[in-house]
Amino acid sequence: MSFWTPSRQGIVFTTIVVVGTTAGFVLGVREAFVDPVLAVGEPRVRVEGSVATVQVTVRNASDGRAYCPDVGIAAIDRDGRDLASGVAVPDLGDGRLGPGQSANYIGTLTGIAQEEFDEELDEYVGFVEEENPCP
Amino acid sequence: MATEPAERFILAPTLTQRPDFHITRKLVGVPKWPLALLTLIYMINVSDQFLLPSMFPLLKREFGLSDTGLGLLSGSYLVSVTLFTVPFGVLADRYNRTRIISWGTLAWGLTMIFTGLSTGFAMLLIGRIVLGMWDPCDNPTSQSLLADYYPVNQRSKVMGVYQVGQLAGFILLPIAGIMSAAWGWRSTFYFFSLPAFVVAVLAWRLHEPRRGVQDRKHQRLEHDETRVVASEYDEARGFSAYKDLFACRSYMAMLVSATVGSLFFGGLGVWAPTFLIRYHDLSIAAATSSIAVVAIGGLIGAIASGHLADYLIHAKHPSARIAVAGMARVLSVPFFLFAFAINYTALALLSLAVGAMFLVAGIPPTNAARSDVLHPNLRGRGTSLDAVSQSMASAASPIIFGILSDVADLRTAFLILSPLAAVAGLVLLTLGFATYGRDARAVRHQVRREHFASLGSGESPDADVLFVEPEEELSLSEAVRVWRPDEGPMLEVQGLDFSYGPIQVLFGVQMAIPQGGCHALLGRNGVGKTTLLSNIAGLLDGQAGEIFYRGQDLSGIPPDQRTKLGITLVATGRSTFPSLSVWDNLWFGSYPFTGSEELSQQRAEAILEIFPLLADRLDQRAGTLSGGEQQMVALGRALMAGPDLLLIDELSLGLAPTVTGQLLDVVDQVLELGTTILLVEQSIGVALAVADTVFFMDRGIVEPLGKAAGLDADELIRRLLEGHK
Repeated sequence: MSFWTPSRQGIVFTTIVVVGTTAGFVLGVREAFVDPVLAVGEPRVRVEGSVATVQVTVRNASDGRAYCPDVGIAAIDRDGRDLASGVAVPDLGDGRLGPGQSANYIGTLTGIAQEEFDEELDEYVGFVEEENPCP
Repeated sequence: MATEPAERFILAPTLTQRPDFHITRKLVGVPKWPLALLTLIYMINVSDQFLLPSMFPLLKREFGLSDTGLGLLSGSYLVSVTLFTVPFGVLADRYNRTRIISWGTLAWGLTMIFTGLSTGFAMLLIGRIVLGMWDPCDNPTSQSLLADYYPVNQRSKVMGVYQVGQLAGFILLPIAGIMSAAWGWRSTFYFFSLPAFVVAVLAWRLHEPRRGVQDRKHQRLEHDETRVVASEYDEARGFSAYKDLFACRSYMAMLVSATVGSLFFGGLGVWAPTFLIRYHDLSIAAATSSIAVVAIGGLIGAIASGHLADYLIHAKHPSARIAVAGMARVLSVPFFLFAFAINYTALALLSLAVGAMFLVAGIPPTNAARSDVLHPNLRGRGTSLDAVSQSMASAASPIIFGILSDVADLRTAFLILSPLAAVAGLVLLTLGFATYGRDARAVRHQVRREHFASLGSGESPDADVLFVEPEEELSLSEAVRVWRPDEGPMLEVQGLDFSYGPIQVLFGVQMAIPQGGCHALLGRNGVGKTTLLSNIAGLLDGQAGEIFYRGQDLSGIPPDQRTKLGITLVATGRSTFPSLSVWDNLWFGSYPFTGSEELSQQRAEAILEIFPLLADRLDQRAGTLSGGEQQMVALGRALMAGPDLLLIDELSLGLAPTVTGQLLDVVDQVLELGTTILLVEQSIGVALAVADTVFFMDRGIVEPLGKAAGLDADELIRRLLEGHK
């Protein structure tokens, strides 16, 4: 117990604060400046009845690698849960994205009840499920 | 120069009407920094708590989580919080509270970084559980600390400010949303860890107040904040402390009331947006942002109810905290019923906001009342039990709403559950109201008993030697009025510290002035004489210490109300309203404080008899008068209020000796009226000419030198030059 003197407590506390603050700041800045290799644009949505067609643009921001990504789409409720989700496929070509290239991916979401459209639906999202570097 | 006594005596303090009036106290004379910091910590706690749920969509994409997984993350956090709240309550009652908060917030910060580093569900889950472990480190601890940092008579107000932290915590969440959209969810966690480290360091620097120090100060038992007072709860183990908690009827009433209220309140935030979408055709975004109106109502309610409850206590309603809390909850119900019954959206939102205002208004007075009825060493445990029961009720509430909505409809669910707030209020207004006074008194007696036991002086713990429950028997203004000179000094300054920013001017000033006579305060320029007078007059508020006037604590009472109580200041340096006429200057010295036009008129005439020079200049602007004439106006204006205690700062400063002589004649006449004068002077000749006793001030410390008649002027001059020996 005598080891845990107030001065030692202060030293341990200060050390953890310094380490934590430095780590939080460095990690935060690093993360903020790391752009994803595959950038997904804002989804464009067309709703007909209970079917929503969602289109997103995916861009390969890497310098030298081609990707063949798996792209997903989803309709999300206010609590962040999926009302519906699905897969989006490239509207043209085989889905191979060379460095600096973009492609549109389209998918449909079904099974959303009218009440969910009215009361629960918060937003549509597109996302990269797997980056899949092309062979 | 001398006037006829019959005219002059219209200025006598005894002729001044000092009706009973409601004193309002500002939160001054106490450091506000701990309250600001603890409120900030509460805010950060709330935002950290809800940060992960706001990131669910992003986490779901990145880790491929199912909804069950997300639910598990939320649920594990709640379970963890519930399990650790009670132990933290025990810790808060037994150990150094500022250290508990420091280490706890430090652990939050680290947990936020850990969560940001997550590579999968398992790490996220561990992060949530660990965050839940540390989450309760602040609320029970902070409330216990606040009760010991701030005066008993300002508790509701303090709790109102603290409550703002919870509501403001939600404001940070949209910021987190913007950050995560721009920089990703991980960086949001990393950056949100930084405020936790900052507040951890600041909390480390907070001083740990002695438990119950404010309760002892309230009873005027002591002013030594460092002395340890042993309590029977210091070594209380197991359930004995909880047995006492459960035996406290008013505490149990508050616990039941808060729990019943949470059965409604917990579901309100979850289901109100759905209600607005379903019954008012609002979009989801509009419904969600409309809830901000409810939060604003809550903010207003939290601040207003704290002030109202404290104000009513000063106005001789000792159970006002319970009454305000209970009434607020009952009053919220009609507004909620109206909001959920009508179809007109604007009115529904307005009514919802007012309902929320009343509902939240019940929280700060309840928190303050809980501190009143719990022994200082039980407050952590009491608050933690309350938090657990509330969070369990809040968790059950949305489910009850959902069931009722499925069975009938959502509107019916709201209409059925809204009256629970009234039930909560009625519990307070019946059981709580009936037992609060008794329980609060029992705590005061126990605090007093422990105080005397720790002194070991053999004084009877039951002897009501110092404390007469002032709030319960007399209002403060009444108590000042009926005070008698044999009850102690008229003015008593105890341990007064004052700083202008980082520069400390007053160092624990001790000073006692009896009623009657002129008392001079001598000292060199810049030693703190004017600062001391300004503190007495209420123009400045010291960081520590108290000032008692006629036995009553003046802390937080604004200057105009001190003038109504009988304290008037003639400030240094021609303190007139320069753009107003002489007549208006005089009138402003009386009418606002006496409220009597006739008395003001008679007094103005008496002043003009004393200062005939002013009679020819009544319409002249005071700023255009000579220095001596302006000093006459300033003194005249002060006398118009009929002061019991007249504070004069540098009467002779910059005046010709003949003018000073005239003013000293006036001072003699004022003394004959029965007014007590505290005169600050640099001129020893002037001071010794009129003073009965002399105080010497140097470097922020006051030393009584005794009767003026026995003092050697040359010796005084030497001391002025040398300062304290």
